[in-house]
Amino acid sequence: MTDKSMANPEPNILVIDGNPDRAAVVERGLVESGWVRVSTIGPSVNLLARIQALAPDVIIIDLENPDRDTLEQMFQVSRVVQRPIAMFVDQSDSQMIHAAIEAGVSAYVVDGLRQDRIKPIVETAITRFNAFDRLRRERDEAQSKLQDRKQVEKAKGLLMKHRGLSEEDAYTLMRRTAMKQNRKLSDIAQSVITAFEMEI
Amino acid sequence: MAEIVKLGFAPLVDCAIPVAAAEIGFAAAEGIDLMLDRAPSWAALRDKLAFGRVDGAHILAPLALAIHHGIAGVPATPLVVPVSLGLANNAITVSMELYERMVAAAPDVMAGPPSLRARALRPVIDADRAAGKPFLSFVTVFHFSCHHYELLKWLADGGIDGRTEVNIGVIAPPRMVESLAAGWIDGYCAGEPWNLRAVQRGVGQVVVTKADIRPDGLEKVLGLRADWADADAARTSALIRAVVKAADWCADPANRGDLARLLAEPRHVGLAADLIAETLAGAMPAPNRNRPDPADVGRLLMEMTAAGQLQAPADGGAALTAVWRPDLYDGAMGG
Repeated sequence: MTDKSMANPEPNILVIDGNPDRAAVVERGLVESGWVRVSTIGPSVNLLARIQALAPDVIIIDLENPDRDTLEQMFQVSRVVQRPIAMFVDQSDSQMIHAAIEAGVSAYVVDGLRQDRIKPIVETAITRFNAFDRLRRERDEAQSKLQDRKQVEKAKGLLMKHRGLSEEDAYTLMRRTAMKQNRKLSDIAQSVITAFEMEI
Repeated sequence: MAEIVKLGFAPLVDCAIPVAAAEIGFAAAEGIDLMLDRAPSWAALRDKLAFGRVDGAHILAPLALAIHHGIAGVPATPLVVPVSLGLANNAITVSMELYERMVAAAPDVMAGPPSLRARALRPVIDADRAAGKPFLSFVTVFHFSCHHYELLKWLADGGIDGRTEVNIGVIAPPRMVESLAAGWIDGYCAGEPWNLRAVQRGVGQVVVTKADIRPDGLEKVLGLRADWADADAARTSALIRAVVKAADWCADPANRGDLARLLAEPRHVGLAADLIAETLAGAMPAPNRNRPDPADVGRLLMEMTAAGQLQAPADGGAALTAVWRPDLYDGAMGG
């Protein structure tokens, strides 16, 4: 848990992400890890005004977000008013930098927030970004498997109807062809569907 | 086996050169498998370059100097610039409202040379100040950019101090037109097609183009990580040749249709091909303008210093001038 003394109030964390689902996952992860002051904003045209209103100590933003250039300008401007926002890139911790870039996370911090307090925040964000990507990959795979199965069913039906094959024979025919041609069963099913569609 | 080379680029019309090098076969002819990495912001491109996710990039000339010098928000990363890539066709667009105020306040100035039209801002700024209104807000594409210096210069030529009399911020170019339409900003300096877009949508007017402000100002370069470039001189030479040949191909008007269609693909710029074709004409460097000229560095350093981004280097800029490597260009091109 983080230090909750009066002298060191909880850092105010802002999550900016073009993907609202991922922003929610990151926010929940931070809150569950004990940081209570977390807010999120999605894509926004009037970004600077909104950030200034929220006055965050730490900004977590997805690496690919086009609004990062706007944030960087804030860093330049803020230097003048002695409340700089510095990009979180400390060469001494290159392992974490590479993990962050790999995960697609970037972070900006208000100068003065101690390094040891920032690190666990960024690490939590990295973990959550990675978890989100893994979930999305799994969901995409599940969806594509379902799609494959639907295609095989459709091809089987076409073979049964137009070639008078039993369900089992239709399936065996496609499997054998797939093995012979070293292709996926779903590819063969797609070929069957295309062939029948062209004949019709 | 072809050598894999990773280059970062920003999705702007002038990314044509690396795209052509990768897609039209100039890289392959040099034994290079060129992988392009599309960065949606200059900050992302800078990070990828500084942390070695890419070997080099199509990059804003002042940003290359800033990264090398360690003032770009990432640890100093030695770079070399063996090719100049383009002059770009930037312009300054103002909102319809500001345009009308400028015309009403100083019709003679607005009818005169575009380079001096910022003089028409003087009465507008003075009236706003007297009325206690907030500063006019302009944006550019990035603070280490020629767009930023062009805006400052145009303002200065009109007697306006861009650092104290207006706000200058940064917005990603794809968001500029809507920001102008919504009234969040009063004007911007950007490359095409973002000026044309505002005019077509009737939300802005182009007041001046780069040709009138800073005609020979270098805009983009090929920046390579110095450690990568030094590791294999033959590979670096092959990349330089591929990029220069691609630049020549892009400069040939006969190839414009093919180029516009290629750039229109979502993995490159992702805008309508006819819009891109319209803006290509002015965006490509003239042939034989690809040899890096150290004189460009001196000029950029002056502009960066004037913009308050850089303290005048103690060595008179010698170390930064050495980032530009015409010798690598000559070695590769046999010049």
